[in-house]
Amino acid sequence: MLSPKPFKICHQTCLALWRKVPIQRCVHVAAAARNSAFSLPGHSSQSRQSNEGGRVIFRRSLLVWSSSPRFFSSEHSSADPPLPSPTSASSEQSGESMTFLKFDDLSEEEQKRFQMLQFELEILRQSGHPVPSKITEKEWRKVMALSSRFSRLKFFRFLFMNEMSDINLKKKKAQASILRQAHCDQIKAEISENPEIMRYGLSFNTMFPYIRDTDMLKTYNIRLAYARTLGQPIIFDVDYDNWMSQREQTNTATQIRDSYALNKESRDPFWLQICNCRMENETMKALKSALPNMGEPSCLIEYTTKSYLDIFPRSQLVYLTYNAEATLDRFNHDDIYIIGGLVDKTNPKPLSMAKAKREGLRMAKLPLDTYLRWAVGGKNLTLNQMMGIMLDMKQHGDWEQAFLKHIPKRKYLQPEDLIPNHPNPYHRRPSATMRVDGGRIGRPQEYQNHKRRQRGVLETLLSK
Amino acid sequence: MRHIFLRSSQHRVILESFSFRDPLPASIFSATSLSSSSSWRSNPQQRDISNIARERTHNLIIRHAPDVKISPAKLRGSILEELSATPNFSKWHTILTGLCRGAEDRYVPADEWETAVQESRKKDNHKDRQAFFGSLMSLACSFRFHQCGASLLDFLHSSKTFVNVSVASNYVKLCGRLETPDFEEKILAAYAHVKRISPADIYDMGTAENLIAGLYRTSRWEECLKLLDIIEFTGRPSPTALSYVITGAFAHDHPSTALRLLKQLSTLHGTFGPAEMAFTAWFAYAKSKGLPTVMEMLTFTRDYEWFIPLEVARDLKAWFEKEQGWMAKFTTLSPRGECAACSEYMKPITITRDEFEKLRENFVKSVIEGTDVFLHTNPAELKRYRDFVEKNAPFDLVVDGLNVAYFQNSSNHDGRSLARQLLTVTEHLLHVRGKRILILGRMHMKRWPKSEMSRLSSLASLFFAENMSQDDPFILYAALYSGLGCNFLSGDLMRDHRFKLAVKDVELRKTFLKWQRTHQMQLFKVYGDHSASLKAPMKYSTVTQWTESSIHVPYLSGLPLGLHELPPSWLCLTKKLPNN
Ligand SMILES: [Zn+2]
Repeated sequence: MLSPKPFKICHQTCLALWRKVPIQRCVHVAAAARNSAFSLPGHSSQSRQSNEGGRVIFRRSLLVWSSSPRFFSSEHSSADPPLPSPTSASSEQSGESMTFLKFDDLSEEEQKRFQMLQFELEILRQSGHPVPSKITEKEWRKVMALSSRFSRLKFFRFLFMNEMSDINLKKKKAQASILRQAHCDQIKAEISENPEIMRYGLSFNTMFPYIRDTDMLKTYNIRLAYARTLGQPIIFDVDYDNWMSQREQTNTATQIRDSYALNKESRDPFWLQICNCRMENETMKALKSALPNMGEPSCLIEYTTKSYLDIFPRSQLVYLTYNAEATLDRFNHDDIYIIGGLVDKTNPKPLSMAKAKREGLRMAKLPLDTYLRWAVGGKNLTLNQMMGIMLDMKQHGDWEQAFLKHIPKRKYLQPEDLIPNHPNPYHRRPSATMRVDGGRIGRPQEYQNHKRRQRGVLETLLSK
Repeated sequence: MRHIFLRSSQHRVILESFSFRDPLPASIFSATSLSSSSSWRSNPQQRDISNIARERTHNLIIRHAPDVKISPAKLRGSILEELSATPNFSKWHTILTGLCRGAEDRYVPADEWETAVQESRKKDNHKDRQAFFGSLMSLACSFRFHQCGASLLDFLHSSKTFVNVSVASNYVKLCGRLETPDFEEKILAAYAHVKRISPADIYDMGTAENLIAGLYRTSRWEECLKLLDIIEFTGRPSPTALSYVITGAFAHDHPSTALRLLKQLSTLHGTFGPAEMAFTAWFAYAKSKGLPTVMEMLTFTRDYEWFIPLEVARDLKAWFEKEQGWMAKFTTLSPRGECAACSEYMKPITITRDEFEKLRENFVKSVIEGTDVFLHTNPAELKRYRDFVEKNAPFDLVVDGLNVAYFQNSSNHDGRSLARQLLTVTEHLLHVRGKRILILGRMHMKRWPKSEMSRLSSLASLFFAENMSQDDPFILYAALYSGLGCNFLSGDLMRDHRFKLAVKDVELRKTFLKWQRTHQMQLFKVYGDHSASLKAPMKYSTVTQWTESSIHVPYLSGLPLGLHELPPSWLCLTKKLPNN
């Protein structure tokens, strides 16, 4: 007998769990099932509610679209409400009355400068520069700290791009919700035609329980807690604040956030530590705003002002830097790897190498050349790419697979385009002899067997 | 094919073969604007060769065809420079050429404006709709389309549309470039309109600079000074803005104000001199006062290390020939500083002992010890190197071994051929100069063939730095330690180290540059395995200089120059001897 009360169930999630597929893939399915807000009329009140929620979202997004893009502010945190535009709404028609914002804590001089900056924004808008439609107080203060017109232009463009990407995202969401609504209506129509039939499948009657986000989070946190007590540590060193521009600092923060997410969702996470952090630094401030619950018990990310030298034995530490001479041939489960929290787009210097040299630590670079033929760009990877590679190495110890998965495709020549022993080094596949058993040992063996078999066939042919 | 390098803009726009009357095709801008550094940083050796080869061609051009008119190209260049600052300009350019039927200035009737506006309203997003009038006016201003600009203004008045600040200020700038007599009242009317919108004199930099660009020609030019003060609230006045005001001051006979502004320009922008227009006004003023004032002007340019542009050099030549009865010639100098026209030698660059000592001290402090030692090397290696230099100094020449070995050797990277090339160059240097040489190499060079390396070590002192170390600071250190008599051979331009010095002291940076120019040698070509040719260090100083009977003035010929490169073109002025 089926239970009279239908569950909302994610069938595939449970199948996947059964087959031991990595769990993170299932989450999307679970989330999709919940978001789709399918429900049967007249069934449980809960499902009706979520349906209503879906409709509300849909309506609001339509409303947002019908109004002008000026409606949006680039800053969306509720703590920081957008200020009214300094000028009247349509400067096209009546710019006659320029009204200026005022901040109370500014001196007379600063106030005048602030007014000029507002004037500048208006003129930039009139001459077609990419500027945001609204600027929050926090952003104005950043603008005021910029001394040259060029840097302000760059900052305004940055805000404008943010605003546009927000708008595009909303547009996409609105379209998706329209589709979803149509699908939902269709199903409802089918049901109303034949209300008596019992339906099976996703979001109808099934035998599998629905896994919620909170449940997944609990699972993740249990794993993180396990890693915290018994797992292998990995360290982000955020000691490079003075060497980075503001943009690079924010990039560092978002990359650390992404690394944290990767680590959390891994089946076998690291004990992630952030060392040398000073909360007054821009990087940490940006990280704090990227991970708002950082420092609370609900967030299992650990950061400390101490250096890693004070926490871990020096002999176990290995600094990963692409300037190093030694190569990390094998992933060692007893070592503690340090990733320099450094994004250097404009002016790369071997800073992390210098630091490791000064502290007398072991250094290593990833064996990129052993496994890949590099195509474009520097061999420095982003922090989340590093984290992904290290997580994969911890799981299966196959460098090639880890690199191919996490390094962007454009950066290396595709392995299938390379030929072993080609005279031109550009087309030659990296030599397999360099690979120790930390790498993928299967392939050369296979290859040799293949050769041996070929030779055997030849010999039998010749002997006849 | 002609290349125009825009100095101030972010991109170098390369224009291929153009004639002035053609409308600018939009594809030029999108296709050929190169990102400035990446393409030529990749192969420094190629760059060096092209530098030296270019220099030789330039000398030919300067000597044989000094009077080639390049002003259309120059106007073209300035238009491009302005355009590259206008956002989305290719789109506005299409609209403007549509309205103006190609590249001709014309009075566009109101109904055509109306259709253009309607079309833009249909197609464009919110941002571009707001910017429609401002962008078109600024484009009209760049192309000097006065009638088109005036028609836009008339259209706005007739359709009762509000004229915003962007339109009005660009119109002021456009009128500043107008040749007809009624420009003044037009400028003042538009200026009054801007003042009405912003009664409290609150302008941003762009608006203020546009206003200055028109106002400097009118009777109210002194308000430009106030506008300059306003600019300083939010940034620093650009050389162009200052040049406008300087021109205004000279034209209205206020030399003291102009000189004050010139001083300000020098402190704000260093060796980036005033624009041609300001120089022209300056010379026109000096000319009217006579020879002593002209000499004063030349002294001024010498002290601030500015170079006069070609147009002014031409005026100067004509004036000295006609009014003063001197001999005047465009010329170049030999590497030792000999004038090709009158065989006189230019003054050598002098670095005083004090200057040099200060440079040396500061270099050790800020580059070797001051920054993170671990960035270039490690303390043990540094100690080893300093002991080595102390023991073996002084040298006469410090050679960047890797640079020499890899020079022109892009394909063949085996140790033997690299070592051979280094050996050839070293032998050549010893043969030509007969000197004590230090060759700086890397540890991995020890693996090069024994025979070549042992011969090399018998000829010169060798030091091998670790593979991970940076060698430029090492080279500079040894060269500076050995004293003023020591040269160094390297293809590196040492910018990084210059900037490190510059953080503290502008004077010091100048000394460093001076020292580098007079002591750096560069490889020009290696001939097989027997000899090499080198670019010798510069011997003379590139500033205006005079003796009893002659004046030599370096000028900018309009040919492209690299960063920190000095113009090779000179104007030679000599007094005619009485008996000739
Ligand atoms: Zn001469």
